[in-house]
Amino acid sequence: MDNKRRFIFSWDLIGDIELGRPNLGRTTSIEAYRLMQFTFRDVAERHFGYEKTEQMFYEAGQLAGKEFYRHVVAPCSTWTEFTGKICDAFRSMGIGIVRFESTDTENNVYTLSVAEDLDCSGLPELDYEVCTYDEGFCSGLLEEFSGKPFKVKETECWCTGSRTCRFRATPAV
Amino acid sequence: MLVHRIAYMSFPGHAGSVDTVDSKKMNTDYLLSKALELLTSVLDDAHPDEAVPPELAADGQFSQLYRKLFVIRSFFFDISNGKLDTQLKEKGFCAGSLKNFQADLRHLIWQTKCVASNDFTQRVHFMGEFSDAFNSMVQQLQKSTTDLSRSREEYRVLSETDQLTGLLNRRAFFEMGRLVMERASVQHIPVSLIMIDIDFFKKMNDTWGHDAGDSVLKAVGEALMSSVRKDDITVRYGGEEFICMMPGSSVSVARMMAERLRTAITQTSAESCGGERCITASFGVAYYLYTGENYVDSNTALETLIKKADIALYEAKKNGRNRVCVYEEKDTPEKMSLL
Repeated sequence: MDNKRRFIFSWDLIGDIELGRPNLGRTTSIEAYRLMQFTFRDVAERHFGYEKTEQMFYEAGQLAGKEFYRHVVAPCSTWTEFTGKICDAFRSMGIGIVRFESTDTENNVYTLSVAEDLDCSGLPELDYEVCTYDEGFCSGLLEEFSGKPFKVKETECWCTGSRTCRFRATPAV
Repeated sequence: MLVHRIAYMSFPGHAGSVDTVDSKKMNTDYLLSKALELLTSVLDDAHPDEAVPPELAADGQFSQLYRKLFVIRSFFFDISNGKLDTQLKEKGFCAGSLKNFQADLRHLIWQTKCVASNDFTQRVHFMGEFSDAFNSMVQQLQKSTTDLSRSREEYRVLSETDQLTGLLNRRAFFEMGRLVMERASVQHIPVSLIMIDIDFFKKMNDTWGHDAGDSVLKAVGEALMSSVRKDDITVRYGGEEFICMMPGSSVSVARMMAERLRTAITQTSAESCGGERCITASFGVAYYLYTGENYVDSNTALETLIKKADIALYEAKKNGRNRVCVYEEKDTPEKMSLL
């Protein structure tokens, strides 16, 4: 079998939406997004196990966060500009309502929550956090903006009965 | 069902006995009433019992529900008192909604802090009517701050400007002049100063009136402004006296500049002076260069420089006016003391 890589990510893979979807436009349903995410997760988990799948989702989110920063958010010269643009972009693209709760810029420790999250809001309670992709996404955003690596952990999730997702970002060791 | 189960667990000997149906019903009523009383106290009382009474504690589910309500109540109380760092581990609609509300409030605090540090881009989009009120407040605050900054700048300009000529006034000159002298001492760069006095100004005022005098002052101010370099400091020093301070200029450059200014003024006319009449002025030039030995503080250095220029100006007046005189170091200390 040919193992040559075919999908090294580039923003071009997002495609020309105006050209390709003149009638349906830029939006789709949350069902379609979640259908893809959770079926992919199911199959990946069957093939690679839970931990490997989590790692894959985290890394994919991280890659997406970096690309999202470069193509949607940048340039940002200050932390204030960065947070403002993130909140606006998440809101306008229907990803979620971002709320920064604390920002310790000296120690690079940040807490933010996302309400009406694209990944999980409305899911059944599952006893565990599910927003692994979001964790990676936030980590990628922060790293691309600051130039420093971050580890992001979801501490509360809709799926653990919190009705909002809370993330804590700390410098990656 | 719950109370039946409690009844059974609390009085197992009676359960299922036909003879004790009334007694069982009585016990069930009692436990139901006790459970309702306890649940009501969690909602209504200021200090409800945290512990479940033994007769109800037998039912694990009831105890768990009571404990959950108690924890949610404490969390709610903390939020209502502005304590927003409490962690709630309970799940479900009520707990989740409260946690969501907590996240909203924590974000609002963060946003308010941002606004307090002049970030007026903050907007709230998720709290209904409050969002409109907050956003309107931030916009108003931004407008007020912008207006205030503009007013402050206008007042600063007004306080530093001579209203008649538009040049710097004496107060602003001393502030800027001190800085120039300080920098000159540190960087060992020369500073020249030209003092200018309009010839026969008093006579013009007496002959043609104060309005005419004012137009002469304005015309001289314009002539100076159009001739000096952008780094020179041009000042209406007082009355009919002007100063041009030239950071970084040697005495020869200052002398040339003074000549240029003198010519410019002679070519100026003030229409209100009984037709077009020629205006002239006298010029005194002085020079300062810190050599490593003549250090004095910037105030003293500035005052000395002005005095020296004034001595040279006096010489120009004495020697027939409409001329430039340069202060020579050999000029006598007696002259300094006269001033």
